[in-house]
Amino acid sequence: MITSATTKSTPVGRHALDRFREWVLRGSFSRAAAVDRQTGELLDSEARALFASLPLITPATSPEEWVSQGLVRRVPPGLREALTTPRYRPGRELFVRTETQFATRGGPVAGYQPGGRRAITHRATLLKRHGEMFMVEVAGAPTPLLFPANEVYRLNEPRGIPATGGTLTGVQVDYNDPLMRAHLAAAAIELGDAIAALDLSSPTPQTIEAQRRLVYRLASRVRMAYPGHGDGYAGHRAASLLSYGVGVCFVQRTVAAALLQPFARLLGFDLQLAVGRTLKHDVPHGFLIIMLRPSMLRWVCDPAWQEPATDLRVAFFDAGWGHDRRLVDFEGDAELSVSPLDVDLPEVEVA
Amino acid sequence: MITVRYAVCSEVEKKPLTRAVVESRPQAERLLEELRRRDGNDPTAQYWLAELTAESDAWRNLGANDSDTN
Repeated sequence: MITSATTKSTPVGRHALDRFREWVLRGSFSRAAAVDRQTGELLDSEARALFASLPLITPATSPEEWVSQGLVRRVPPGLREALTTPRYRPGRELFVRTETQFATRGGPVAGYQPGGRRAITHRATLLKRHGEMFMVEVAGAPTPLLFPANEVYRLNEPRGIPATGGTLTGVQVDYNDPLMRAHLAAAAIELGDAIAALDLSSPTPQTIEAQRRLVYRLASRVRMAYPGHGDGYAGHRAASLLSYGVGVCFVQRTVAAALLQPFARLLGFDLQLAVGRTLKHDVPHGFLIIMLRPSMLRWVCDPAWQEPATDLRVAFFDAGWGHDRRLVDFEGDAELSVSPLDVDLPEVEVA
Repeated sequence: MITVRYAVCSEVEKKPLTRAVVESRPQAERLLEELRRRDGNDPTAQYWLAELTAESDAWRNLGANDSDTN
């Protein structure tokens, strides 16, 4: 049974955090975080006691709480504006479900094809709106296509780990778990300088790269092995799986989401837990989609394939180029709360 | 009750995949050889069997995602 994390922060003794920071900075965290490969329990009782006294961080933790808990130095300038900039605007690349082809032709797959099977394509660009319909340019389509706004939201809004944690694809995400507290705090401490330097006031290519780099470094903290390639813990607990645990792609991407999700509001990004398939063998494959705010640029995080953050257009390019995946659906907690302020599209008349 | 026990996996260019999940080791071994042949005996590919522990049922997703209606 999982104990759901409360979303309210509790004050933490700075002494414990200072001591933990010392462990992290002198490189002792990894050893202290070692777990029993059968049970997933921390081996070091001293570490367990210290980790349990660290701040509770969940996806509901506000950027200000990260600061007040002493885990980050400042809220990135421009974050509020980045998170309130309309997400549905001209030029945004998004997912739509339409008649599509995935045949390998040495170029990007998933273009529009009349009579093709209905599937999700990533090669779509938002143009305008007509009432409750969105006008979208789809690669390969001779003219823009119309899609119901609600359908577009369903495919493009965040889908991730609930703020209270929970079980997803067999992985238990418990933000109360002392080891999860420790992993989140260790990540914040080790990325402290880069987080403090993040400035979202102006979305320049440098800002976007700094954001992407942070996501990349966070996702790189998931060091798991595929079944048959490791002898670490292979149970349910996300925190115990994070370092040297064993799990298939769906497990690894859920563990990555558990780690990334609490940072989303702080660093300005959204997550989607993706269910996919490979193009070549048509077998299931799980990965994450990350959307940076406010740019809405998309990246694929695929820990099982050792790709912490790959440009989505590259990640979905073509099996022949080593990018062998397509999107089928999503899992996880849906946040379909699009307000009129999230949409800034010119209205068009359609004959 | 968990009845499925073996994953047949392959990997090319550091991209591990579970190709199928079956109930017995002999069945998995036969399937492994069949997949190897079907893939054209790619010398760069690795194939192996992974015993799926009863403790973790996360592997079930590999067979359960029938949401693909494309």
